[in-house]
Amino acid sequence: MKTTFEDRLLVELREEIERREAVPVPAVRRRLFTGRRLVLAAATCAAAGLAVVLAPGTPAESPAYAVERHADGTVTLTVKDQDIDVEAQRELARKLSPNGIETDVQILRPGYVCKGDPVIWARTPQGERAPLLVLQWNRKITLHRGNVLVFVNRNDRELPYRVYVYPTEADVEPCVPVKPKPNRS
Amino acid sequence: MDGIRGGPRAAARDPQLFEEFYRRHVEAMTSFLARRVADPHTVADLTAEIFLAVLDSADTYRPGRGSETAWLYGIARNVVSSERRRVARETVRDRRISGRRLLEPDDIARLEDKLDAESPGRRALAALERLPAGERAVLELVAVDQLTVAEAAAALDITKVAARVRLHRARKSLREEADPAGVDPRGTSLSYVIEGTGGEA
Repeated sequence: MKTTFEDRLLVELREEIERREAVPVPAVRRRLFTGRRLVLAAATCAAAGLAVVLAPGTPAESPAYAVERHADGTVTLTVKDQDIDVEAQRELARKLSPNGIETDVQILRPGYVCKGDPVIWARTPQGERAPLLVLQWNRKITLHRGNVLVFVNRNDRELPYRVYVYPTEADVEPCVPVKPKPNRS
Repeated sequence: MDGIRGGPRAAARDPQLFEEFYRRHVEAMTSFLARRVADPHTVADLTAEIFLAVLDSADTYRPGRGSETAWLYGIARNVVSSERRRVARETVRDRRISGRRLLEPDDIARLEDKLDAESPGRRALAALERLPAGERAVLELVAVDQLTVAEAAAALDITKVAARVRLHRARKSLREEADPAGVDPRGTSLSYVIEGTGGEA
């Protein structure tokens, strides 16, 4: 009897279940990001004339991050320097891909943030109001096969202000770009 | 009754139960995709992605938050969104199961027929692009994918009341936008969306 695409896909999915059952993978059920670091980066620093404030980092010659692979298939990503640009993020994506970890590098248009991102309003030396973004990073992140690592970058592409890990692709929350507005003056 | 015995969690560990789950939903999922993408190869790839995501996230299903169908549509929406982001950035995805590799000429012809059959749905979805994202999401699931309001609410992880409000606003916006003479200059099926047969919880 002739099989269809749906039949052949089912065969592969059944084999995938059997593979997983043979080698149990630790369950990851929650967003791995657990806290917000109160380090601020200017959302529109060029226009606002504000400096980006960074946490103390390692010397410039050190790599921005370390990737450590473990026997159980997990990967530990240790961030040494938050100043990891888009190109370095893409390079990291290539390194993580063989471990079944997908990396999504998002770049926002100038002046936009993702809906729901915490924004703090400050005043520039000229007295203008300017949004500051809270950097949302973990120093050490454990990644499992199937996890999706999402970098959200401002348009300058120099520094992600948010790095989240989602257990699976199905859990990834889309970034809805919005222009931040102060509540009141 | 909507769900299978033991729910998605059991299905993700038992090939026999998974087959039951898969056979129950695969047709609806390929139709869902055929309303959102325009070529059979992408339909095949994303069908594989959806069911792999089911295996990955079966532990996240909570019966109290909605039916198995609603949960699956929530996954399908995320897979399609992720694909659109990927295409927008022209990034390459390392697919664990390549759906298109499993396609044979007969499958492609059959999926192309399905894509043709779903073209009014694709035009209707295109007509919704100007709606706010939250309203559009509810209207898509209810009017185009024929979910109930309760299922759409569960798929989007919002309350039924919020879903009804968004649905009402979306339909109102589209009615106001529709050509009073009944001629749609874009050739879209706005009436199909405004009067969608779904929508009852």
